[in-house]
Amino acid sequence: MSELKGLDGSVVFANGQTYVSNWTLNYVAGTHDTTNFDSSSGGKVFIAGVKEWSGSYDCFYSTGNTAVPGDTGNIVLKTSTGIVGVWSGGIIITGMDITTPVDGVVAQNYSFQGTGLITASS
Amino acid sequence: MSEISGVNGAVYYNEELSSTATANDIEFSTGDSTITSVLIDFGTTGVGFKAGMLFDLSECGEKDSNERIYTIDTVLNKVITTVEAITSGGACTGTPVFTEYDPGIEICGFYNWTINYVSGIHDVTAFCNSSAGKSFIPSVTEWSATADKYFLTANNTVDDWLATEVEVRFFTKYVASPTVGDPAQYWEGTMLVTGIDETTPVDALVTQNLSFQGKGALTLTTKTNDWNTT
Repeated sequence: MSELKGLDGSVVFANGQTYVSNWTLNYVAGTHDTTNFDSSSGGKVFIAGVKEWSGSYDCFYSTGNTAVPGDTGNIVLKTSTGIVGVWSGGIIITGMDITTPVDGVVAQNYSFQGTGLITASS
Repeated sequence: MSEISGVNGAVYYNEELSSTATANDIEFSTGDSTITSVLIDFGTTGVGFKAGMLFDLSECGEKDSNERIYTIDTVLNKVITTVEAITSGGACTGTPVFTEYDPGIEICGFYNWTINYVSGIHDVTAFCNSSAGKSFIPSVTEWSATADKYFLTANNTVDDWLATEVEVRFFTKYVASPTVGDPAQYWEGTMLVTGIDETTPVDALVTQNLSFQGKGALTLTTKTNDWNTT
């Protein structure tokens, strides 16, 4: 077990995977507050609810990145070239920001909403 | 295909200017490539054409060999001088239509722009599928934009844009003579100008930050041939 450098990470998504430089997965579980008079002396108490996941990734602009908001497909988020640290599932592209600064590289950043199950190999 | 620098970005404005001449109003001249009208003022006090703009000429009747896209070299009141040669001289019995053509005219002073293109989603999580996590389907798309520019003391066209509908072309890369190997690429659509923030700091340049709300489709155009060709 060791730390992992991001150098070998990658994103696989049809028409939206060129020049990716960073990705972020946000995987959360909803909670339900079950605090009641009998349990409140110990602090608030919760139970787990429905899980949900979303994320974003940053690209340099490419004519190959033709995916636009509303597109759906399967995404694979890899932390390295190995078979561990791989996350995959169905997504909807929910956002695309293109930025053209005169003194920088043209950037294309995507955000997505995961739908259904996310599978992890870790 | 490679990463591109923002140094070749640009913001163009297509005002969709148009004018239709009456029969026998237009005179073509092949020698000096001029188009002269008796009635129409093509310049800034009339139609609004400017040097550097392109326009599509159509409905020329028997002078249809002159129908094409022209680049305006100069425009002075009722006379346009074109960069491209005019092939058929003389009076025109047709009713020529002059329509501003893409990409429009560059608005100087901009140094950054951002398009925010999003899709709504609907949560369709139900008891039968909730164990895998929430499920969604895509909904309506929407887009908006922002653009930052230095305030210019002359020809500051954007001052009149607030609360109006404009056709702006946001270039990731402008190329004067586009080719397949070196294309120009821009995003275009109709947008409402929803805000102009002007900032005047004591120790920096005066800037204007514009906000746009997109209307309808946002379209990506890749131009691989000369601007004066379709």
